[in-house]
Amino acid sequence: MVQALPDQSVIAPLRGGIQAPLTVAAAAERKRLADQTTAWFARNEVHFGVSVAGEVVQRPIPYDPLPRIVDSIEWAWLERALAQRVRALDEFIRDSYGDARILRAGLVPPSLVYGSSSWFRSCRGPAALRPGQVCIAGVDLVRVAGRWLVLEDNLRVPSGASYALASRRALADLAPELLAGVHPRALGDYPRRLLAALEHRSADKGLTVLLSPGPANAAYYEHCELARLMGIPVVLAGDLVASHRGCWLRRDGANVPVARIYHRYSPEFLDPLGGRDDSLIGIPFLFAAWRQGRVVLANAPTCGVADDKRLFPYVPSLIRYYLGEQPMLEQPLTIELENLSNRRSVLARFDDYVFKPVNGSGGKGIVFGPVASGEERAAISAALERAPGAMVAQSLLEIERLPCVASSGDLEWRRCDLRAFVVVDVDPWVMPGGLTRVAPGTDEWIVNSSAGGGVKDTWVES
Amino acid sequence: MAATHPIGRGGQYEIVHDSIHHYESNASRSRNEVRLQPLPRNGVRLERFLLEVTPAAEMDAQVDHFGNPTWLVSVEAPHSELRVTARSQVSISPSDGIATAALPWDPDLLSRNPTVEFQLPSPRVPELPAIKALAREMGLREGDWESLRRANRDLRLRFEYLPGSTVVSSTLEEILERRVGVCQDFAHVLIALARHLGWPARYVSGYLVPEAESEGYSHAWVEIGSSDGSWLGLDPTHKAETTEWHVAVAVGRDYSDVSPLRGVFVSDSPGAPPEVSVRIAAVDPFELRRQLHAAKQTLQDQQ
Repeated sequence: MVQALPDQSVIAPLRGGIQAPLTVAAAAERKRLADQTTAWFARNEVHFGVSVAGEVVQRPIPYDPLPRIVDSIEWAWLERALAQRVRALDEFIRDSYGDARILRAGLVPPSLVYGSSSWFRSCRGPAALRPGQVCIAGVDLVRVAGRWLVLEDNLRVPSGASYALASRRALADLAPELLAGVHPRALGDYPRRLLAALEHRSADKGLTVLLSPGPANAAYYEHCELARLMGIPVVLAGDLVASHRGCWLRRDGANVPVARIYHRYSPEFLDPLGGRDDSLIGIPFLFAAWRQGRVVLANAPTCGVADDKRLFPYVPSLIRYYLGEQPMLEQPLTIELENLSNRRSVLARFDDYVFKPVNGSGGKGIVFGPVASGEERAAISAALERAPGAMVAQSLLEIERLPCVASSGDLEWRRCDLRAFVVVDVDPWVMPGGLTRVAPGTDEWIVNSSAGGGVKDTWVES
Repeated sequence: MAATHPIGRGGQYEIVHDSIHHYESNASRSRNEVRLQPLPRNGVRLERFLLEVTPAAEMDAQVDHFGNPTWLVSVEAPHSELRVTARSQVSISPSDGIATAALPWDPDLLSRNPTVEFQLPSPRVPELPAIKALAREMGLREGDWESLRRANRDLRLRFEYLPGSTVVSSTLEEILERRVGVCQDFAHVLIALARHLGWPARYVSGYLVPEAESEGYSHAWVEIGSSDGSWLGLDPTHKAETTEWHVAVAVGRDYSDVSPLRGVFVSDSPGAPPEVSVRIAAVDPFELRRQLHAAKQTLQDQQ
């Protein structure tokens, strides 16, 4: 399992001769900045909830002060590639709630729509056919041998934009001279873009609110921070009431009309009559109001059908079918395991794969073949016997490792991905940077914050 | 358990479906989806429909994914009881009931047709090994209409009709295990068999208009999707194909898609099961006209 460290060419000067900051500095200097930024995150309460013995504990998100730097030409290509992907996913969502042309064309198995627990019959109606079902997408990218690949599309409640903003602010506060040397593109436009995208979806006079499941949610910091930056209130389910005519905020005994809701819910919990009837945090008839265009939900509750991991292998076909274009981003081979022969051949080469639950998020339930314990292997085999459709296998990639600061101040190389944020107004706009997520140690594979992963800043050369 | 009607005796019928939902303590407000409006179909015309709700409610009719008229009912005032009364007037004109057969599907074509939605497992009709076993036990063949008709006819040889033996939430697994049930359960079993044999099958809730003046009741049966796009009704409870006297109210993959009233209320305590009554009575068209005339007269007198 010991991996040869990448050679020093990875941190060679960038195009234009810019040296990645601090990689050639003294260990003590790096350690000092790492300590300062860690203290900054604690002081500013940039928290992410981690589950400890079944309880969510809010703690500062681990931060690595060495930024990832992305070349401007490479980034311009990524912007086009991400926009292409999100446009195709949005087309698919609307088609699946409309004429289902792609199913009739035989390009996507209908079970991925009609058999998906994320395709809601209660969402059928005019609102599901409008462009812009996706308001914000979080696309997880990895770099493998210099090429960018997509690992996941997150369209339900992609978290992380506020952590990217905090990562930048920490460096701007503590090491402005580093930023001055490279001049990365600024991120501060994000809240304005998001608010504009929400307002683009409805010109109604009513309020724009952020609907949060509450302080027990892992990303509660983000809910409050984004709402603060957009200048909109954070509301909880109990504050809202809906009927087929619309949605209202109950304030001081009066009902104030709500026109736009930026929600941070897994969509099945939004409305107990439209999604899961055991949802205690839902707002009855919210879907009925949304269906008729009386209130905007961002993202639309329809989006889950397109980020189901079983659909993932078909995304390149969606791009060809809806846009008539060749897919720009590659993606690793993803194998559905309902088919017995697939299952056999995958289990026979267990070490070559990573196993992912189809409806999971936050890295929960993911098992990496080469580092799985005997117990984990047995559990995967048993789970696949029981419910072969509940997991997919994805080819395991040796993803890029980036230099990080170890506790000694020395450099160590950890696996990193990049969550890119795409905001869809009239056209998709990509936040120039995004959230680089860092595995918690040199031998770790998983980068998710819920699994103890950290973050670092992402600099796009201007 | 009325037998099928003699052909040719059509007419107008009034169906009154009354349900009262009690809440132990006051509900400060409630939201309800009501599916009680009959669907116009071959031989069945909806003449009139009226939904009465007490306390006063805001209402809106929408059409759901399956094409069922769905009434959205919002009550804002505190209430300890919700009463929903649906009054439907339908006219039924029986045809001479030529039995037709559903045409089987090419599995590949079905897999690309949206109708496949009704062949996939659904919340109340999951895929179960016991269904495979039952199909084998009954000697049923895939894609064979005669097999399916026989399953419909013979189901009650294997399952006992016993009112009160099951509840609305009884699972298919329990029904297959205990081999008893009511119309809802038989419909679920037949749907599971049909899907297993390669047919799209859907659940229909509605009423069976009784032969003589009598209580009338809610009923459930099954429709099988033919590859020519039509749907053929089978009523396993009555061991027969359906007729115009089966007045459909809602269709779906299974019961979970068609519940007559699904609601959420804000209260400290749970609600009790509703009291439901259904009355079906023939309406003489002349009598109806006379009543209308009299009502108009009264209105004019008042003005």
